[in-house]
Amino acid sequence: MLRPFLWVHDRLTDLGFQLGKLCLAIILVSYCYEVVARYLFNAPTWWADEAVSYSLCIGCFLMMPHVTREKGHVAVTFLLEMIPAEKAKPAHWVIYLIGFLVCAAATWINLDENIRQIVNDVHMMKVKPFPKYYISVFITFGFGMSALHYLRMLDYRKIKVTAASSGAYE
Amino acid sequence: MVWWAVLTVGLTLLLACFMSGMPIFVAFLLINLVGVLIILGQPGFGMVANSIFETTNFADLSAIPLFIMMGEILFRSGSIDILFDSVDKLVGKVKGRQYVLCIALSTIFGALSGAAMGVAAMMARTLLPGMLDRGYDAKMSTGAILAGASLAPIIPPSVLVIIIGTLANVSIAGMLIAGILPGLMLATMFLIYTLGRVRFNPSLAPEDAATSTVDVSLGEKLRAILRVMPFALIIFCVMGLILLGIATPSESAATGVVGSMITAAYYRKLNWKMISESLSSAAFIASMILVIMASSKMFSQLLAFTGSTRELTQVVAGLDLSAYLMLFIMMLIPFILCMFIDQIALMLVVIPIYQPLIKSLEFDPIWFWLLMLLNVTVGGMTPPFGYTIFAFKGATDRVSLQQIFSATWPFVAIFLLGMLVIAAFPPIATFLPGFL
Repeated sequence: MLRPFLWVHDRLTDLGFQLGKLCLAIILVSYCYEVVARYLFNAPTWWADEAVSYSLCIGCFLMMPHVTREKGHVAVTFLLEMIPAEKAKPAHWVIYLIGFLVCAAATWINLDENIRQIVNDVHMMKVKPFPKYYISVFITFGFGMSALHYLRMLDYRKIKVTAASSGAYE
Repeated sequence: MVWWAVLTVGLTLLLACFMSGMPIFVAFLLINLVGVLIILGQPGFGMVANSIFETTNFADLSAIPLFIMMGEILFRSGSIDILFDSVDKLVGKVKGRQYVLCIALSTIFGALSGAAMGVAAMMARTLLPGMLDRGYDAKMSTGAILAGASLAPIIPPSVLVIIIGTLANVSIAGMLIAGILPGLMLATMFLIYTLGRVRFNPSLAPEDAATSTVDVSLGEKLRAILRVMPFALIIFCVMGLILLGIATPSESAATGVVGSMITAAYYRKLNWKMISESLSSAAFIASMILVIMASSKMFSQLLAFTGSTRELTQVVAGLDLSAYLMLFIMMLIPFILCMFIDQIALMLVVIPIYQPLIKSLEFDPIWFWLLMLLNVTVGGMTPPFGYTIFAFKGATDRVSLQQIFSATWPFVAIFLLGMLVIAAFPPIATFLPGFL
């Protein structure tokens, strides 16, 4: 019954991953254009710095669900790795539960802030002002999708602990 | 609650969360959310959302993915192999030449890559098997590679410098340039140590009789120099443009990526698949780092809000300890903690506490944070927890973890000696930034 939702969740994560790469490409092109325009043509742009900061934020949180799914977040796991594999399984489950609760709380907090920004019509104080939630909504997306990945990891049967891993999930 | 209790409880809980094995960003968020709820109540949650937004909307931090991408392009395209072959030809006939080759390559890779892990893994895959096959000492070879790789975060470009400079509000350009002389000094110290050991114990480096690259003609050496010239373009795109005042550090990171693409194209190794993979890898690692930074920001704000950092500064100022003793204590704490917790996480905790202290002690910020950079860099190769060690071990199964652990200590000692020299002679760090 949950399969269609899981499929949509995975495809959204994949889409975020591809768009995250695009954001990095935008950062690269914007800065190179700015350097050339400023030093060769004496015509600095008004948009390069803004495009970079927005792309950094958007790209970071679009990529976050993929990092969570791939268990790519940095963790200090050497104590966890000392525990025998079977005993480590409950510990991993608790960590995923905390991950879910914390990301869910962060989603709620950021969603609340998004709504406040929409209601109060909060704008970015930049050269070209525009609604702040255009950017901040991606933070909510990143944490929300990551919370769902942690929720999916709570399936105890699917937690696979190996000697070298910190709780691989299949 | 009194300030010292807030500080002690906050730091203890945070370290306990780190050690539990939960992701660092989860640990920071958990402590911050609980802290905000207790200290500020529910209305304070808006500050958490804003701290995340402000941290990731900071253009200077874009240098992190760009520096990573620069290294990724060079490693994935195989352009590095050409550098490898050329430097191999240039090293010439010396006793223990593989150690010399290892340190020379590490220093050059340091100027092309911003992270130690990539260099350590690459050297473990390419250089280590040859060293072991020639009968070179496994521990000495491992130590030389790990120490050499650890030069990458010190010699610009450097991801760690971007993080320290941003958090400590120090000139990133100044910090980047400040790493050049200490990086070269440490490379020289590694070289002296390894060649000294080989001189007193020749069994550490058997003769390279079977190596065809030992006797290289002058013409071949000149051709080797010409072949590596395109790499100078990358170094110019990063350091040259900063020193000439043409580009900011973030912009120079972007031009460095273009430089690495041009270099890969020159060697006919540029293709879309490789660019796409480099983008994926750089965006992935950058997201991982930025999410930690965004989640941690509120921690420093909470410390400031409770008055803990201000009170700590006043207490330390009242202790009337000598500046050098304070420096020793301030370096000892991260050195010990870095053995167990992640370098970035440690900096995120330590920098907001240290920032007011270095002002009150009137330390030169570039000098102090460069010493901190060396300190956390050495943390990457200090057992039992070190990213550089794990990246190295992940790339080879010919050396045991036990051997790696014992191999690193002499080089850790050299790093500490280097820090002592820089602490005693600050111009080593501050001379070049003076030209900016």
